[in-house]
Amino acid sequence: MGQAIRDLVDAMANPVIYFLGSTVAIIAFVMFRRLLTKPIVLIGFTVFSVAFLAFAWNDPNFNKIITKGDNIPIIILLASVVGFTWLGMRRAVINDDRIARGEPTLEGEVSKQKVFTWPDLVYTEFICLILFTALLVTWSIIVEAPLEEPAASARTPNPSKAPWYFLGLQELLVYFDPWLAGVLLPSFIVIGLMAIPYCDTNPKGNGYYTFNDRPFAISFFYAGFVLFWVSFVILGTFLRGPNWSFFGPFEYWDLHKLEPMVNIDLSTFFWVKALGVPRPDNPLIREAPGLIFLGGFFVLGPLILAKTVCKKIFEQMGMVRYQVMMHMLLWFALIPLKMFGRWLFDLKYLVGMPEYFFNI
Amino acid sequence: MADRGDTHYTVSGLNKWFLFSSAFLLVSTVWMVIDDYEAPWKNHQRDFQALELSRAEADLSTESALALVADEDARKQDLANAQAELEKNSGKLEELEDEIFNLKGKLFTALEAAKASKQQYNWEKYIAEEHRIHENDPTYGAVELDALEQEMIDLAGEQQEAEIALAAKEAELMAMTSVVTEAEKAVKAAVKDIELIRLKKQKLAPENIGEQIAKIVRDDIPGLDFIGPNIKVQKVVLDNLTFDLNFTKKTRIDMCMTCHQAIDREGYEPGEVEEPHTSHPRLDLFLSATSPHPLTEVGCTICHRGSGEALDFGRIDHNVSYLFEPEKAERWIEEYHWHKKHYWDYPQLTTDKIEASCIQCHKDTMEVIAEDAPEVTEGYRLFERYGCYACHKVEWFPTKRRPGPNLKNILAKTTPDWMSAWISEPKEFRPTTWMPQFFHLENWEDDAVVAKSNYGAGRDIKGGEWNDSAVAALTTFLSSRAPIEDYPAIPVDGDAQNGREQFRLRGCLACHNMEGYEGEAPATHDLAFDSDRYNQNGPNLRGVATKINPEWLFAWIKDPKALWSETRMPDLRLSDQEAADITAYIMEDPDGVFTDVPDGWDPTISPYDMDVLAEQARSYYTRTSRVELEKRLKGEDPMYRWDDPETLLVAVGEKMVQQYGCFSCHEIAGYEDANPIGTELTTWGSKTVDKLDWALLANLKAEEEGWSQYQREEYKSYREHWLRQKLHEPRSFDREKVKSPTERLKMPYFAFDDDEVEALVTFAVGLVNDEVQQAKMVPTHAQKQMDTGLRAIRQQNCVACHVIEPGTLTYRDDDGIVQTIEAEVMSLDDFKDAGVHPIPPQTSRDDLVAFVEDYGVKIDEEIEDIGFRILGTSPDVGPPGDTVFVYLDDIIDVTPAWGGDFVRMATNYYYFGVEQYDAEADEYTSHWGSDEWAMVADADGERRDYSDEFYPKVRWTFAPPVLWGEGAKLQKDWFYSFLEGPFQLREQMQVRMPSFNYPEGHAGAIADYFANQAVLDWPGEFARRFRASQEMSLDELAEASEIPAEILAKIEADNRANIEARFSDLLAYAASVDYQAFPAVNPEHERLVRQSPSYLENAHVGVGSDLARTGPKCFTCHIDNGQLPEAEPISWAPDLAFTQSRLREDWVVEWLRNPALLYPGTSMPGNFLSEPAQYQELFPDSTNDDQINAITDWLFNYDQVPKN
Repeated sequence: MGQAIRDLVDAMANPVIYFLGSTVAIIAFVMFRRLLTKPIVLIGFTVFSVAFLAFAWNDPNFNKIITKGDNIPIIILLASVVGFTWLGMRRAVINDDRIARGEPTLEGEVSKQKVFTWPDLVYTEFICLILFTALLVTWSIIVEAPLEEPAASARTPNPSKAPWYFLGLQELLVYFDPWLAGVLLPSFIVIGLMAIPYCDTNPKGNGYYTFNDRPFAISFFYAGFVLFWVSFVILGTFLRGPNWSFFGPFEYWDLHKLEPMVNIDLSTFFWVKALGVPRPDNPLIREAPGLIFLGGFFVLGPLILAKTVCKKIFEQMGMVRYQVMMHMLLWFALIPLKMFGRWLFDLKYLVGMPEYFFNI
Repeated sequence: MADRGDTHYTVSGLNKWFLFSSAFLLVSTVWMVIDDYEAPWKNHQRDFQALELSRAEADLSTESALALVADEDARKQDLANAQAELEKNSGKLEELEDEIFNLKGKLFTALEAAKASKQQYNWEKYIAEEHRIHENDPTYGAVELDALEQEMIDLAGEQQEAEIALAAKEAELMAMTSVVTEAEKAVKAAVKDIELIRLKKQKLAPENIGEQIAKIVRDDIPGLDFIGPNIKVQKVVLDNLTFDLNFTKKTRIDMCMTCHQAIDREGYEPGEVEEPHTSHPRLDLFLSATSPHPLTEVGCTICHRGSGEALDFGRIDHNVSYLFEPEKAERWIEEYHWHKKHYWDYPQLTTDKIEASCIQCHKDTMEVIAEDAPEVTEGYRLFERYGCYACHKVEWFPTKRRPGPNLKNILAKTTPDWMSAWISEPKEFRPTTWMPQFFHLENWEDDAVVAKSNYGAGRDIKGGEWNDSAVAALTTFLSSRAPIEDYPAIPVDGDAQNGREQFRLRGCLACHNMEGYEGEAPATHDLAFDSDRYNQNGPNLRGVATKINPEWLFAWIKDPKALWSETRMPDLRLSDQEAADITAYIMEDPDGVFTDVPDGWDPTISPYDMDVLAEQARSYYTRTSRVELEKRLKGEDPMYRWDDPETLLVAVGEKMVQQYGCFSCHEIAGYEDANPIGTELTTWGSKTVDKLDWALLANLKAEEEGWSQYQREEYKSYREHWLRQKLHEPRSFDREKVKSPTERLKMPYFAFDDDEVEALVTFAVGLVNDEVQQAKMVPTHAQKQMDTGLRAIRQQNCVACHVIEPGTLTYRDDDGIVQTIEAEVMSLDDFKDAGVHPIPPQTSRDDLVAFVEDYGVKIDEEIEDIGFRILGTSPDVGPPGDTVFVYLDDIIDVTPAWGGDFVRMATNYYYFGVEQYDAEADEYTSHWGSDEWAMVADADGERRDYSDEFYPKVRWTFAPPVLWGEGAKLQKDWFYSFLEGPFQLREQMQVRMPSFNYPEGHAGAIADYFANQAVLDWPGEFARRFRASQEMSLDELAEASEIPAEILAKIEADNRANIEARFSDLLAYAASVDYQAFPAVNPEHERLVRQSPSYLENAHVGVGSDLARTGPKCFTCHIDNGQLPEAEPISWAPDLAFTQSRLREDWVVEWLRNPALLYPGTSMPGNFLSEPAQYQELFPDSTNDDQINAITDWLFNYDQVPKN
């Protein structure tokens, strides 16, 4: 029985099921939010998690990865993200009901009262400061510093992991050229975050929790932060092992585990597989399918969408803001696109021009 | 704070939160302080302080300490009396003290005035000088200056007067109080021996309340213990021994002594005190200030590895294997929460592997450290002996030759059939061979399917046939590269019986043995059949006649080097007749030894199969296209007619040679410059464990042994486990792996036993990349020469024939004192009747006693005690040559001589006769005296019976000479030239010093070794002889010379540290009592004075000549410039014509004085021992020493003096 559960969990923990599962969970969470934000659900979920932890604790592999000194913050992150996401959604549901009934929101009620700098702000901050200091002191006494071997540039650890907060980015390296995953996409994240106040001028949802007022923005936040950032951090921490291979939480991190990876470019699909001719020598002609696809994706995509699905948004935002937002969103959409391409077709690059260090 | 009622949070609620969080912070801070206070290393130091305190207290309450204290009390009483006496004169005393006080005041005033006056004068002088120059007024202020100067002089005079008055009064006071000061001094002197202990105790447990409080604050108050604590981290910073972090090197810092506080101090033995407070077990070698490895220079981790900067038990990577030392690991887990650290790349070495670290610094002196590092040097020697270095490069490894025989002329030596059977399984024919087995091992199981023919489309091929075909192919290929040379027929007919004698006496058996296949105890006392010692340097010769061609054998023993340039087999300078005789003996085999083969040995070429060979060709010829290969296999390619079995066998065989690297060990035509095929091991010990391919082995073992995953992981985290497995079962990492034939592991099977594996593992673990050599240990020229010399002695197997150091005996004498002396066991009586070998083996106490008891049963007599001949100077036992009888029960230990197996072999041959093998009865019987041929033919051609001679005489005459003290005896140049071109020095000897095939530099290094060893041995020898001459016990000499007995004993035992510290004192003492010292050897040049013209003016060369010829009659035994003496060969002694070029003058004098002291048992008589001296008619008024000198003068001018 125990082994069966372990095997099942291990089997579930491959990148495809993990990613799709997380996506489904987020969608379900949004769709069935009314049901899922009942306190009993959180209690049930907590009980289940604790029970699972108790069951899994004795497994040497699970225990090893969970109790590793530098993984403890991730456990805290896991618990707090789930908790706060649930809490936020619960308040949103309550508020949405209140708005529907024409009542003030929870936060609206509170904000009617006065809030003083002292004691409401400074005193609470001070208490938090003390608590966290005490917590850090205790933590450093109890948990050994997770020191590893002396750093040596010729002998890097395996797996070589980024700091936990960058594990999401590191995961992108599996699917993208390092230049893209390491430089361009992170820049877009920063630029995109800076652009939000200029693109998003909707005043609704300020200062109170809600879902119904901002369905698109909140869903997008869940997708971007919870799914692509936090869940990738967790994946990178607990499920990526030596040689960046994927391991279930109960699986032994075998250095010699192999995964068949013969990935091919889109150009090979087009020329060799579909047309049955060798790939042309000229890189531009060779990569024409990918270039055309990307051209369509980034140039025609926003235009077509502006005429169809996003007609209303386009009218609200105007050309510049619409284009900025759309390009950010399309870059973001490229990530799942490539992931699915990889999983389903062993697709390596849409455009692969190593001659010019240009790979997408 | 009152709740205003208008805030969002209630203030009283926040107050509670504040209270709670502050309390939490307080608790966590206190916890932090306590946690720091309770750090394990601090507790260790506290424990150690307690230990030191209890020791100090114990030391203070010993009988001698109490006596000292009692004495102190008496002295204190004296002091009190003196003080009381002084008290009576207190009026006078006070008066005096007042006067002194006043005088001091006066002196102070005078001093100040003098100082002020001097300042004033200097100032005025400056002003005057300035003025005189600027105003051009040379006499300005002269009067004032003179007045000031006078004042200054007067004041100085006053000051002096005051000083004198004060000194007088002070002397008066001192005289009055002198009784008291003397008494005070006496009190101090009384306890000076225990004062240090008291101070220590005082420091650890102060009596003074202030100091107590200070100590509590410094060490015992958590949180305050950072203020000048006694308890603190100790460390050594080792600039020269860096820590390699790739691309950068970091100074090594070791903090181990923070917990191991007594590690470099004597007297903290395990058992008495607990870890970590124990002393290092080898303080003579390590850590102490006088040792060669002082703590402040070498630290800890350079040898032990682990992390020297850690203070936590686990982080240091203290090493224990949970799998193999479960109890210790359990204890560590319980006490220290120990767990195996995987993040540290330099795991601490376990105790049994610690010697591995010696290699880092002692690469170039491995032979020299052998005594102190037996395990790792054994590994080093095995690495050489089994030729590991031939496949696995180790950059610094000194031996480079190919370890296996030359195969370029193999067909002249043996047949393809024999080769094939041998390659297939060498140990079947010769269980002791070093040649490993390559085929029919576990990753080629006979019945397992290993491949399918025809690129996977044809029939199944089994491992057995794959290997059989491979062996056949190899054999055919090697044969094709070894065209039969036209060996000349043997020019003379050999005589087997004669050959037998030659074979036994010339020295063949020094290196070769003929032990049986089963390894059972031989039925004879002939050492040739007993192979646990030096006679393994060459192969076991059993069955050899079935292998070799007589013509090849003849050519080989005549001149081995001609057939194999790198062979270690020496040239015995045999005549054609001798070589033919030996050849006849081996090939005709009257003893049934050389034709004896093991059951089932059937030398035929392995069966081969064309399908299999074709598949092998397909597997290995990967660079040839598939199309081309098929063409060849079908015979369609005229260049490669692989349809012909012979051609295909050669083609596949060549690939097999490349695959298995046969050329690494053997010379094969066409592969002279090929590179070895194994992994380079120069820095294997630094390779991280995760780079070792465990394949599935750890998993399989874990399943087999029922290990947990943790245990499996732990198993995989020790490189030792991997290597151990590799050496025991080299192919086991292929288990359960799916591999094509070309991928399978190739390392052959050596059948190492457990000890050999451990030694090799220790050696390999020591091959690290830490560059210590240049920084720390630069061997001197002498050390390097010693190393090369020792290696040459081992490689050329000098030790088989020559005793290089005598064995020892440790026993309890009649007074119950344990004595250790250099001695050899003597033969037992009544041996003739018993029909058994009568000389007990001096290998170990148990062997010796068992032999004697067994012998007692045979002669039906209980043997209680046995005799040992004293060989070295033993002042407490007796002179060399004396016999000491020891009860069996009193024997504590014996050690064998270093070398000399063949001495016994040769002597026995003369003494007990020739044994003959009776094949029918399968036993050896002695034919002594019954057959003429069973006696030994002497140099003069006659056969004689030596069974009634004195055993040592036979030994000293016919067996190879001992080499102890040889460096003091031989001139180095002569020694070197003799090694390079040996000749017959003792005409009567059948045993022959061979002409060795030395690698470059080895002959010189051997001569150097003996010279340097003589230098090292001299002080100890001097000390022993000196004390023997004075007839003193150690204590008596200690008292006379004022050198502690303990140190004298250590000097006599050749302890370098004590020799360096105190030997000069002993020398000085010896000189003071007019001891005539024998001089030390200078290893660089000879001390030859007797041929110099100035010396010869006063020398007695002529007298010496007359004396020698008519006095002791030297030429009765000694050869006179080639002319043999008239006596029988057993009395022959070396030609005296060689003396002047061969021997050191000092040694000759010593030798003539009393030969038995140098070589106990020698036939050379002591001619100059009688008092008064003889031969006065030849040399009037001469002493023995005069006569010895005269003879020595003559010997060293022998060529100048006519015979009459």
